[in-house]
Amino acid sequence: MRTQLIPLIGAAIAVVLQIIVAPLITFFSVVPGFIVSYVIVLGILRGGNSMYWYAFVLGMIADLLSQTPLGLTPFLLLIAVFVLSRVFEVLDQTTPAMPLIACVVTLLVFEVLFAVGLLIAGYEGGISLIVSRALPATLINAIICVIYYFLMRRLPFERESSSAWTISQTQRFR
Amino acid sequence: MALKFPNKKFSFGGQLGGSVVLVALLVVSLVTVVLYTREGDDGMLHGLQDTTSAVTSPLSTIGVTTGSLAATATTSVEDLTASDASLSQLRENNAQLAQMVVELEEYRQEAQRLEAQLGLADAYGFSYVASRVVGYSADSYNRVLTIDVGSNAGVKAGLPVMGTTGVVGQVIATTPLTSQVRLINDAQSGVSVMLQSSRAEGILTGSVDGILYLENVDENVEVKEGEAVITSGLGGGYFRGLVIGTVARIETNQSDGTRTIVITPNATLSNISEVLVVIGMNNDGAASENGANATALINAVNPQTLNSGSAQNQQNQDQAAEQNNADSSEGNSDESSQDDE
Repeated sequence: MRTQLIPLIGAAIAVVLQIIVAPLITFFSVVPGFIVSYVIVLGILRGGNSMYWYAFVLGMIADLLSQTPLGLTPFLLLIAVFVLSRVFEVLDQTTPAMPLIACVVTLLVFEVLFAVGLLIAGYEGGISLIVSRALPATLINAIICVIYYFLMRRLPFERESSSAWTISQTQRFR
Repeated sequence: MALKFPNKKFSFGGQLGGSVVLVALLVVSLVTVVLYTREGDDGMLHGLQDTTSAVTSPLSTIGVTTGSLAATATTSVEDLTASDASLSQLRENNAQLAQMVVELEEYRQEAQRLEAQLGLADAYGFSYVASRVVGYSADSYNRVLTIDVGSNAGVKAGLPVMGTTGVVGQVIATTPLTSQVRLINDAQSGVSVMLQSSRAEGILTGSVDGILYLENVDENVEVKEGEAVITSGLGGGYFRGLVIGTVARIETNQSDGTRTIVITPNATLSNISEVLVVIGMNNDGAASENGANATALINAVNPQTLNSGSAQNQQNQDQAAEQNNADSSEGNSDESSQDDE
């Protein structure tokens, strides 16, 4: 029960931070993504089928709070969580290095694909949307991910195994 | 499909549950994106976003208020710490005074902003609804404000919004109690404008970097730095004759001869706390055919003039307001004579 409640409380805190704090701490006009960072870190630490629901619901909330196309954030977060949970079945998670590198790479790909999605949806801005938004957003969200990671790794998350595409637990790749 | 590692084979698929949930949620997300992009601004999903913004506005207000107080407090504390070292025994009193200074400074700044806004409204002679900003954009790709007036107060999509010293944006969506305002420097924003002296028309667009560009101006038109840019009223929404800003610089591309015109807005587009939604304007403002009236108005709504709050400024605004009233009554009499005919 406790291991299921903690991620829910964390999600609620991330949503409140996104509403109250995020608009006040812009960096080069980039608003930090507390919700996106939370889902990515949770995906690394927890994994499992329930993460798809976290990615979907929190992604929808993130889109509802903003003016971006509804559904784009959950779509990209679902893919990110799926890839992360598969990757961390074979990658080393005993030291912070690999999870943090994975966070940064995931954020970069997420932000770039998000900007591309907006351009496809008809947003103006061209390449500067990627250079002036996606790259600074990756940087600021990576800092949030680091903070989240060091706070959340102390909490008792029960790492679940996802059944969408299971790689057998093996020590071979560790 | 399978992944093959030496002596190991990992099958794709696994148990049905996880795969079905993942695929189903991906499909729902994708369908939602497609529906959202295809529906208009009045669509159900856009409405859902606007309603969410209205519902969360009380929470956003906490952030906006805290941010405003923190900014004021930082300035006050910086000022006070200089004498704090030598007057350590008065630290407790200082703390109380510092709190008072923060509050008084907040009231002083608010009064200054409201005074400038009233000056702006007097100079143009428009009717308006005053409101407070209760939320800033929660994403990096839009420059949108949430204000605490909505359709119940007569606000509707398309109306222009004025800040302390000029046009800040346009209402894009409303709920009964709140409205969303897209700032003019948003990359998705476009305002039909004209140059005050040459009357050449163009489109003022924002950008990702927040810089304002004037586009689609005829190549043969001479554009001068410092020239006023005013709304043309074409396309509806913005009333004719609102001063947006001035031409800051003109950059000519040597290779193809095209030029980029950069505009400095009259309004401050960051840390906006209070705005006026313009709901009616019965004169041509700075687009008046009478050059003297137009120039007087442009001088009256200049940011420096509005912020100075001097007696001379009050005279300028009164003069501009009188001339606007004269213009509007002339217009009304013309209309009535046309009706008589």
